[in-house]
Amino acid sequence: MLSPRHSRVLLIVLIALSFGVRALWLDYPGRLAILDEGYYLSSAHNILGTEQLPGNPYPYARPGLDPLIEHPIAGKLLIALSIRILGDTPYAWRLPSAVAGTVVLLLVYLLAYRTTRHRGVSLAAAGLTALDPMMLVNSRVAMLEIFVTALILATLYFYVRRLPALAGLAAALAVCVKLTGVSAILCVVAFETMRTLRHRVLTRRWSTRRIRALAVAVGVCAVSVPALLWLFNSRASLFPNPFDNLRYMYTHLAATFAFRPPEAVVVPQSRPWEWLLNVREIPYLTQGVMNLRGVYNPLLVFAFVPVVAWAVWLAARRGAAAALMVLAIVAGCYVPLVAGSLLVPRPAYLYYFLPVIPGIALGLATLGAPLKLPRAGKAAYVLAAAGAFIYYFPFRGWP
Amino acid sequence: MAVRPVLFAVVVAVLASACVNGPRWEATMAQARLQRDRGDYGAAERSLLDALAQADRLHPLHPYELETNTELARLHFRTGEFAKAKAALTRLVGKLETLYRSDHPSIGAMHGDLGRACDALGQVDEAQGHYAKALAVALQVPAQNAIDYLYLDMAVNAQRRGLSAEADALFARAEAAARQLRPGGAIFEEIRAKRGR
Repeated sequence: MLSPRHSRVLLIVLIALSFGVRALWLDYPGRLAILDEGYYLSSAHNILGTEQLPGNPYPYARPGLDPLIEHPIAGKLLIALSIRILGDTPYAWRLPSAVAGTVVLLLVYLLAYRTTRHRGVSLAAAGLTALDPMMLVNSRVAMLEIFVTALILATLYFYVRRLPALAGLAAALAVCVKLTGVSAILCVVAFETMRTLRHRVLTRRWSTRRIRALAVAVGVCAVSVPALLWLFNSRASLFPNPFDNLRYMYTHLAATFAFRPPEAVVVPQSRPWEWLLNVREIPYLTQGVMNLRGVYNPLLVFAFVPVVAWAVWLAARRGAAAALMVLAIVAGCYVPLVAGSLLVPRPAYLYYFLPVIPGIALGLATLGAPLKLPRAGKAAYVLAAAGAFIYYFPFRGWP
Repeated sequence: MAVRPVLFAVVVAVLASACVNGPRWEATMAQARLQRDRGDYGAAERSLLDALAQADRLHPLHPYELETNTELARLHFRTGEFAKAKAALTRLVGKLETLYRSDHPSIGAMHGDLGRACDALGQVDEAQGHYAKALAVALQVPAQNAIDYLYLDMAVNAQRRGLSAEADALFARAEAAARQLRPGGAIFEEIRAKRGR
């Protein structure tokens, strides 16, 4: 068992190293948008009224307004704020993602500790999350996935800390970054539903305290989404009315099938069940010494099925909070995408699975700890994960 | 206690009503284009109106709504139903002007089409206003927005308004623009024919 002091030192080392790796050479390869960054940077530049990058996808956007209207504005405002403060440089574009990617690791640690009260296990969960290449790549590009992932974890952390109002607020922020951020509140609902139902089965009584906490989180989220959207939209959106904005985004998400012919789609599309096989890698950028590959750590993603099976068993038998948390993340972040993909064959991409990775890491660390495996075996697993991380590391030399 | 199921049903109904089956809309649009290309304009219009009814369940700025109205306007131009074409184009321009700056080439082109529709309906003064907006854009993207044909339409519009000097100047501009954009094209015949009226 690690002492509090040792675990704190190790956590600080992990966070510092991870931030270093995320912020390293963020300006490489110069003023060039990586993958969908072009859309978000164009939005940020248009909001600020600053010079656009070559190949601006919105050359006729109305000045001062966000042209990328299928996504909420908060993430783009964050990128714009960073540019306003730090100047229009690649570091400023991507620093919010690097910070969010580091916060993800801290939140995984805190969430794991809250559900297991075990420092070593919590460090392992954060460490495994840090070793995921897709997590690293998304922490190095000015896109929205990493913000949503951080806010989903923040929602869950606040909820298990018995701060349901803050959880509702974090969930609302997740929705204001990307509509798929609704996963945050779905995770909370799934977590509390499973916990409350188990309590009901065992005691034949409803826990009003838990139901009240859930109602507060959901209620605060429901009220905060339009309020925050109204606030964020007030100066830079085509939609002053937040409900109009939500209707546009919802109908866009619900109805859009494919606007471009298949041959014009450059990013490989995939279905949610393919993500478990780690196929249809996203080629973010290959240039010079950089090969930014959008792919998960096989040691994490291939563990999905055993982790979920193990979590189901543990949740049913013992009601372990960590197992419930793993299942809640899967239920809130993965199951809706599977259901959506079965209903409408709309485009989906491998990086949509990103918020599930902390769940798998949490599952591997917390559920794997009690297994009677030799310590060397567990260490070998972590070393193999580290090996895969190094294999997929984006830099192949000194820029 | 019956309130909760009713509320739940209302929420589900509202969410479902705002859903459109994307593949079905795309299939309807593809069918409409096929019917139009076969010359079956009545059937094409029915298909497009069906697609528009589907798109109308979405947000007014949804791309399905924009694309359906564009196809409807094209079809009505082809069938000579200019009042219907004008209605579809007016809807479209309003939506596009919400989304983009007014110098967007599509907005300019649509003002040109609106001018043509108004001219065909005898609304020459309204047409002139649309042509002026179209010209402001076409001057920036002359080839893309076919500025030579725009000058030609403006010249005919000036003739109809009894402004022969203005018409002559516009015919001359149409000719000069056509010489740069499409030397030897059929537009020269058209200019001569319309000038001689």
